[in-house]
Amino acid sequence: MIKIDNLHFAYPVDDGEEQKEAIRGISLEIKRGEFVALLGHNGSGKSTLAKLLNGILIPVSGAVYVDGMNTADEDKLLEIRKKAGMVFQNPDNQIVATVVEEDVAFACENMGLPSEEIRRRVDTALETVGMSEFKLHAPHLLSGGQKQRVAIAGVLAMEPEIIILDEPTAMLDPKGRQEVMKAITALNREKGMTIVLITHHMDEAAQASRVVIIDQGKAVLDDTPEKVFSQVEEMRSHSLDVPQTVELMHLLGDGLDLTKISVAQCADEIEKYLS
Amino acid sequence: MIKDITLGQYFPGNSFIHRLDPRIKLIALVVFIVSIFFAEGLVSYGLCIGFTVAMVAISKIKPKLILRSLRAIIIIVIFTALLNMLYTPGKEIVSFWIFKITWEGIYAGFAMAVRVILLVTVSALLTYTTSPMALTDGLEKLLLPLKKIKIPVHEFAMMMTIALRFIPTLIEETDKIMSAQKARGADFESGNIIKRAKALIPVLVPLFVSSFRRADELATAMECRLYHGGSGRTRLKSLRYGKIDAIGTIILVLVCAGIIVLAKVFGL
Amino acid sequence: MSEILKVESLTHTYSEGTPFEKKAVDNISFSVSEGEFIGLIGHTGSGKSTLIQHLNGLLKPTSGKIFVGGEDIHSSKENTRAARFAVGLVFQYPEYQLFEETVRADIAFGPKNMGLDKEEIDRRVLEAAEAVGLSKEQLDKSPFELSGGQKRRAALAGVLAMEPQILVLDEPMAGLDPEGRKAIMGYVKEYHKKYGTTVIFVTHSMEDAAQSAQRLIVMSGGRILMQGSPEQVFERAEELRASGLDTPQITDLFTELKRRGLDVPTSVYTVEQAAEYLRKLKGGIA
Repeated sequence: MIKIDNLHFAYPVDDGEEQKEAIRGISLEIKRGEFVALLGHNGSGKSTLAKLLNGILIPVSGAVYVDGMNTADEDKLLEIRKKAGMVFQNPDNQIVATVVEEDVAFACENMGLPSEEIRRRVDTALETVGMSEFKLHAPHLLSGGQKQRVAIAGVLAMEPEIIILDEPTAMLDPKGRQEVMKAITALNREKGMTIVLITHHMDEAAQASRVVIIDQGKAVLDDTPEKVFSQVEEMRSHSLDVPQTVELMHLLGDGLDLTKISVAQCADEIEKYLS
Repeated sequence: MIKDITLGQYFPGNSFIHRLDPRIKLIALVVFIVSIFFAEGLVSYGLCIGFTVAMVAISKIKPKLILRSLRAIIIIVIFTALLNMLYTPGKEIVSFWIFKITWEGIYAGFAMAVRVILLVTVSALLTYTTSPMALTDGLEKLLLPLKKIKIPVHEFAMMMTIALRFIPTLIEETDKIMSAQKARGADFESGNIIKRAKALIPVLVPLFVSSFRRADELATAMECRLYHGGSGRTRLKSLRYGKIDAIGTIILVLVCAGIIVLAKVFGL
Repeated sequence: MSEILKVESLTHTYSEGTPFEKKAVDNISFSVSEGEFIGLIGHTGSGKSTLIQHLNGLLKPTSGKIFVGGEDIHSSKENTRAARFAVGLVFQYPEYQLFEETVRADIAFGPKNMGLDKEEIDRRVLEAAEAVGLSKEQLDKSPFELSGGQKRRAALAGVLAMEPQILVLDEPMAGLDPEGRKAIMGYVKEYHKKYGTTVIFVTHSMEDAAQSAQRLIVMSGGRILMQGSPEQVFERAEELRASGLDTPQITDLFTELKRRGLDVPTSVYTVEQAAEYLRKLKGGIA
């Protein structure tokens, strides 16, 4: 679905300043139907990587292919963005219209679809994220989690094959985060949508089917959440946390299985430990 | 607080007035306002008032909301009414100092007040019953002929939409920044004009910085949602002249013609 | 310890008398002793942000009173102004309030408004910058050249430089990554230890609150739902969850263990506590 091939990127700088590479040679392949979390601390390069995935930024060297199309090919840009939808961190800065349904319709309108088709897609998209009852509301009066779900619906209405979410929960409270994460996991599990989630919350990454740790512009770990999080020391060296359950079992040592990351699994392990 | 200002607020609904094509509503607004200024006698004024009241009733907008929008202009209404009352020559009732009040003056004063009130009421009704999007859409379509003389109508309409979308966000943000600076001892309330203007710098600089950031992020988000200007763009609610629009047009023409004929031909 | 802050039957209603009327804070009373570190917890819309804007007189109570150092802050204009400086309020995302040409000038904004002399201002700016780990070099930069985390710390320093008796922080770690969160938390704790300033730490994360606060106040629906030591509050984990708050995963784990019939307390909220407890338990059985 997405193929990243020895990707390098650096932001342009003023004369005299030293250019620093934000992405230093990443190669990845994301398959159809996968739910991939890109986990890294601020400044690790994960958001830059996200922007390279649908041609907002163009590689300095190496290449990104979306469904076989090179993102550096300007003629394919609209096609690529239609396939790979993108949701950003600040929900306020990606909502265009003053009524929820009209905002969700925005992308379809740009695609030049007939009204009836737009109506169908808008209704389906809002239904999918559970925001149908708000379709005539003004976006600025919604909660953060609701706004972000509207933003997701706006991307869904394009009927993309993959959705890239760049720290969609960073500005939300716990309730909003839960709402958004529920919507994202449902998209992947029920609709089979390919998801790339950029985040620094390890508990969000734990819900993915695959976790890629980004540090200093490189992909340093790439495995299932269980395998990634069980490497406590390695994670810490990349300034990242592990779930408290893993941390506890790591502290207790004694041959506990660190890949049991959920509360229930960890409780099993603790029972074994105590007996 | 700044938050309390309401600006052309839209109240969603499904009334006849709500469903009218925004283009019809915009044209109707202009035509009706012009007709109001033709009104002369009690009958033609009565028709104007009756039509306005009927429209408010049909729209199911709470009269309280209309009254609220009128509250803002009450001083202007009283002032223009007084001016007309005092400066219209005619049959004198009482006079004091340099003023004299005439029958004609009282009539002219009332007439002026009624005109201004009706004007504000129908304008408020338009914004209350038409979503800002529909309104800009309507304007865009009405002004489309201007595109022939190279005026970027679509871009202006888009700018207006985004402005409408971001006004509440920026008002909220201004409120927040002001509170934050107040918490650091900033004083916006005392001192002369220059001092107060200077006190605004700590608010305006962060506001500009964040507005640029917002603009940048919004532009990227719009591009990601395939925005590439007005060409080839369709709409969720494509404007179509339907049956209710025909009915609306006929009623409007009848009422406005009625007002003008009553006033100008019969002098009522 | 003497009482430094007292809130007495505070109620705040927004847009009173309009259809949008909303009671954000509903008859709240509590007091804070000098030098305490309080965690004020509640989900969005629980009224915690409205409450803290009363503490330095930014909002006026619809009814009720606020006393800072024994003085009713609305008894005179001078008292209100004094409360503005006695209670240093750091807003959410404070980096968006930076406006000066240099970080130094921005940090000096508060002290300048207090009418201090230049020498005193300079001393305070340096001290505040040091307290949040900003170097002298960074002081002469434009605030807009700093990284996100540094900007946040510069804004924090801007309030510290007023040397408030009570420091109120509204979600100081919102939007930061684990590293940034730890840094801010560290600086705040350090500052509290060094200067003995009373701290009110507002958050919706039970985990952050539990890490540092001696006493927790939990708000819900404009009222105080519960207050007490972290242990006392986490004891009632179920109630916290019901009111829309996140409990630490470790508390959830212990709740699960208890449900399975193990004799463990549900008031555990840090990994260290948990490990220690389990080791003891194992030792006891063995």
